[in-house]
Amino acid sequence: MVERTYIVLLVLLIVQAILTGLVWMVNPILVTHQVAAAGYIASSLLILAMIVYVYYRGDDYDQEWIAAGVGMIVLILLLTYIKGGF
Amino acid sequence: MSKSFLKKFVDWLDENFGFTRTILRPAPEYSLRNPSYWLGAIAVVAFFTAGAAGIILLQYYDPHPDNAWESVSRIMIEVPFGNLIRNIHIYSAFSMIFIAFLHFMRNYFTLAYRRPRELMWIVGMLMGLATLMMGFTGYLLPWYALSYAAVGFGITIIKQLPQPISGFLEYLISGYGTDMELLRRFYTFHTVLLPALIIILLAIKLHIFEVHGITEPLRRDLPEEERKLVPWFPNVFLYFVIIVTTFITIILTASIIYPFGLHEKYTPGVVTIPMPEWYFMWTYAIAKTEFIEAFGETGFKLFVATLTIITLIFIFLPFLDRWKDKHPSERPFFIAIGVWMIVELVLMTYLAWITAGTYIPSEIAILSITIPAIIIFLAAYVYSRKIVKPPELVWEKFSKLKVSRFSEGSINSKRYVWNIVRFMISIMCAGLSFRIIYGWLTEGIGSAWMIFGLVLLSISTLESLRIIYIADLSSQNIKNRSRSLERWWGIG
Repeated sequence: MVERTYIVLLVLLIVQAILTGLVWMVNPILVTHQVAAAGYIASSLLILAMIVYVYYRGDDYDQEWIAAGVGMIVLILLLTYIKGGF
Repeated sequence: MSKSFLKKFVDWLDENFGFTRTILRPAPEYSLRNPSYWLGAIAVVAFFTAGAAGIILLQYYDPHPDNAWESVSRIMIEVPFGNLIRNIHIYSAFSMIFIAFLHFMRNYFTLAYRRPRELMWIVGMLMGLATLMMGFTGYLLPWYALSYAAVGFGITIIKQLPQPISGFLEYLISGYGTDMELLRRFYTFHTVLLPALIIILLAIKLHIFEVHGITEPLRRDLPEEERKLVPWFPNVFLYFVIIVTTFITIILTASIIYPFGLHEKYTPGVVTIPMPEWYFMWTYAIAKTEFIEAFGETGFKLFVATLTIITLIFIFLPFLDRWKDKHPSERPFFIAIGVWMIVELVLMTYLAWITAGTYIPSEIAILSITIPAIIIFLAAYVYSRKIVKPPELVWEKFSKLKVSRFSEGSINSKRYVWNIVRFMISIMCAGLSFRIIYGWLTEGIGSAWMIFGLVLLSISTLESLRIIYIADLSSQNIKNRSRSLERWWGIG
């Protein structure tokens, strides 16, 4: 169980780092790129919420919330793509 | 990356900042299991998010009638991230108003204004009014024809107040009536005076909060372990981080889905229908009913007087409510008043929306007030007399329903992915259903679409209920709630 928590935290951190890094690559003037920035930041913040949640609850975290969080991130990125591209 | 590293890092931060030695009081465990206890805190987060975005907007906004609209347009097109920041500002402000209203209603239903929190309630009500004024003043700043007409409607309301109050208020917000003065004053109120007032009131409210702590839960049989106090750091702090990041995520996502455009600019002579923002729509609905109009100025004065009296009643509710020591479940009519108020707010907002530019017929207005009242108060009567009882132990059975949880047994990756997809589909159903219902209301799309929208809404609601049920199941909340409910109904 301990290993699982570490793996979850590590995966979340890597995805968060990638998404945060992408924010720096967008053009801040174009509206479509601002949508992309909003999507990346939103996903990154949600991952932060999940990391804090896993850390806060230790091994006792509910997998349902992590699943909901992952679902939300995928949806946000999908929405970002539909509304403004990446 | 190891736990010991994390722990060492947190310990080092604590050594420097002294989080664990903070003066902020510990919170009871039960408050960290229910976000509704922190609605006020979320409203404060919304206030500061709107403030941070607003400070950036201030650098580019020009409070002059000739340039205001153009400067907003420039923010949207030329300023780096300008459009996004503007959307964050507007959505944070809207959510602040909405969450403050939820906070107000929650405290109303749970009688949170009971001794010794009477003054905290009054300060909160004043903060709520200041928040509404923030919205009212901010609406004019982009200098839309729409907002100019709405502000004109607001000033008409102020004019109905008795002298010298009306004269003073009118001068205060619009000076001698020139556009320049009007915009400058609204700008000053929105950016300096009202934020300062809210911060002062917030400091007072936080002080009272720190003195008395979180309100007692309504449930009398709360287990002792849920009453135990947990330290502000790290427990409350980490809980806040989760809430705040989730809140900002929602704001950003809303900015992606429905970014705000720019309405038509106000120029002298342009004719438009006054259209207040959504949070003032209900007042607009009442003011434009036929029977208010039929009485002319007297009718309008009556409307303003009623509005003022209702506001004063809510502000001084802690001193007017003589039965506040009773449990809310023993006061169904008090609860019914709150429910009726919410239903009327939603209904009036909807009526104002669909009848923009015309009057609301008297019979429609009377029916929309009386029918919900009859239903809600009849339900309260049935409840108070215990005319209908739920089948014995139905809630107990409900709480024992078997719903498999992800974490039971080993992880089944297929099941896990299926649950993620299921969750995504339900959210998409919700979004699509809102879009269809919105289209049905405003764009006149066919009723078949509306039925499809309702089906989608049902799917997402059922899925949401399943998730809440699972979450509640894990914390034993359903079991406790069912017991409380049965006891209140006298069958437990």
